[in-house]
Amino acid sequence: MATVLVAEDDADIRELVVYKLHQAGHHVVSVADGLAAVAAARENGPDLAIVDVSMPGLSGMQVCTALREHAATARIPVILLSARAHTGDSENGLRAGAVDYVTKPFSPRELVQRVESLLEKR
Amino acid sequence: MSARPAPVARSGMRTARRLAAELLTGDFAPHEGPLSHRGLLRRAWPFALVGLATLIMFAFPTTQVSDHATLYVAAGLTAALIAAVAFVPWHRLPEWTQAAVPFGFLGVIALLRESTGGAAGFAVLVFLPVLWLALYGAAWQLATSIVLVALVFLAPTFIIGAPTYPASGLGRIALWPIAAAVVGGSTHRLVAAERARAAFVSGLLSAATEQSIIATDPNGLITVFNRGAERMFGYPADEMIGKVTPLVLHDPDEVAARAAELGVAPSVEVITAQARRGRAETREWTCVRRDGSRLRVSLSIAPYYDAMGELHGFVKIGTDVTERAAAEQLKDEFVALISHELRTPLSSIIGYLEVLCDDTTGPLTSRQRQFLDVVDRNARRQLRLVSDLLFVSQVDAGRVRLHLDYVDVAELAKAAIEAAQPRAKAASVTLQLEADDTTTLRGDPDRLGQIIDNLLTNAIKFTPAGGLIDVRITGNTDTVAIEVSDTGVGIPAAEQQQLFTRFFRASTATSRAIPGIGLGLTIVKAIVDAHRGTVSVTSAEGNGTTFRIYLPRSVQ
Repeated sequence: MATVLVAEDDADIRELVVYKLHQAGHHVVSVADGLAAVAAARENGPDLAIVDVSMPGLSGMQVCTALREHAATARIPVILLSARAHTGDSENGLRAGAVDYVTKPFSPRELVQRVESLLEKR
Repeated sequence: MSARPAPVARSGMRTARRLAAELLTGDFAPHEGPLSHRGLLRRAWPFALVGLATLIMFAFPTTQVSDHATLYVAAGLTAALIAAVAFVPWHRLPEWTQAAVPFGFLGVIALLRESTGGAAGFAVLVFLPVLWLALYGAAWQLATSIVLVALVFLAPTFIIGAPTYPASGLGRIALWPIAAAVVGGSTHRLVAAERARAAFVSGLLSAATEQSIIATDPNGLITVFNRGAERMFGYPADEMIGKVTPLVLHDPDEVAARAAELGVAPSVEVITAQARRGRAETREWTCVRRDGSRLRVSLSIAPYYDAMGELHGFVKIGTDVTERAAAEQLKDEFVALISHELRTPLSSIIGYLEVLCDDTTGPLTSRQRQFLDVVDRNARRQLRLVSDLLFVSQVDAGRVRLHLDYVDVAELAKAAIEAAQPRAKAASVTLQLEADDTTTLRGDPDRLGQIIDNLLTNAIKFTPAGGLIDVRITGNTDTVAIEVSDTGVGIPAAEQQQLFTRFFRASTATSRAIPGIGLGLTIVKAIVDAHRGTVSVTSAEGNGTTFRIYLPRSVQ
């Protein structure tokens, strides 16, 4: 069982992701904005974080950067979730330090598969 | 380079200084023809020299002067003519009045000849006023000048009874006004052509009030700054011409960034680097007005060369695109917002549907599952629409980026057919694939898949039940061809040209109420263009349609 941080401002999507992760047997910490995400990551030391790109407080990219800058959180793999599909967005996300970039709408089943595969690599 | 006439001098000292400057420089601006005041001053200087030389000449005892009084009159008349040239406001008088000056000088020559008892040496001087008259290019000045020249030659004979020339001597002397007339006439034509060209250029510069036209010398120093540039940047031309480079108009940060990109120092070279290599270039720059406000300018820059082929400078034509850039940014933000706001609820719909269909919350009846399939299908249709709109906005902004990889087009076609099979079955249409073995190219797999998807979607929509859709993928040395033919309703010939225009819907689609918004083929064309390929269509109403796409093996 791994601890996964879910940072997503849209409550419906947050609940969906949390539901699927619980179902897969993971412990989930969920927050609704970027600042809370950074705080929760420092506090809980999750094994992986799923972070929405467009969030109040800090954007997903900024969260990524903030996590990379802090030694305790620098090694947490981050999957970015985004409803934006502009060419170049995914490159920017990966440059900010994310390990994967998922465009909304996504298949919750596939998202959980990606989580499992990243956790296995650790 | 200003087309404005030089103001008439108010003081003698200033005029004398200007005259001296013009005598020294001898700078004939090409657009200043016989009419301009400056041109008049310049043409008068040979006479001034003649007058001076004559007075000096008579100071030597070797020169035979038979009539000193006439000589003084000649000198006085020369001085009066020079003064008239300098101080008469010629630009307010009709053009023909200027002819008084050469006429006056012809009189001076006649007086000089008379005062020396008809010495033939002065006859040569008629060249100068006759040349001047011929520059007007009008027959009356020429005819009058010939009569006056005759009078000049004969003046000593009439007045003091000096001996006439022998016939051969007269002939030689007559050559001078004829030569002057020929030279003057030719010069007039050249000057007239040059003036017309210069007037055209000057008109162009003045007429372009919405465009900035700035020319520089090869070192970047501004040589032309038109009205449009004055209006656009808020600097008067006389503060710019010969004093600064266009760099003062540019945002320093942007110049520094571009300099780093080009690997050059952040100088005016940043703007002219491409043009210096002989390549005309158009790009958008952020510029700064005199008042510090910023504007976005689309700047086209090209080199220009002199008659010897040497670089003479650069011409930059700028259009203020601030409003357009702001509108584009607004549109981009709007599209991004819409995309975000539409995709987020679709994410919930599609995600929760998947959870439901995965049976994790309890078993569904087959009827419930059927309903959820309808919801899913429609949600995905809406998602496709949002994606298409977003893609088209990226095409508009020139931001279509390909993620290149080696891709087997036949495999893409197989996958596309597989995905389209349920829709084809529902429409009772048969899908068929024929493919060569060698259909691999370097391209963007997702985008190329989208091409085949879009063509198949259209073919299924427009082919009646029982029809056939044939997908053929073939390859030769340089290209891979995708051909999608159907036995559908076809496209009227008159509409085929507009097929790739966004939001265009063929009458065969609207009359049959076939759903769609007219973006599918626009996207196909944009993707094919991005791959440097070609797309064409052959169709006859009622006889089906074939789309043919040729893609190069490698996108260069």
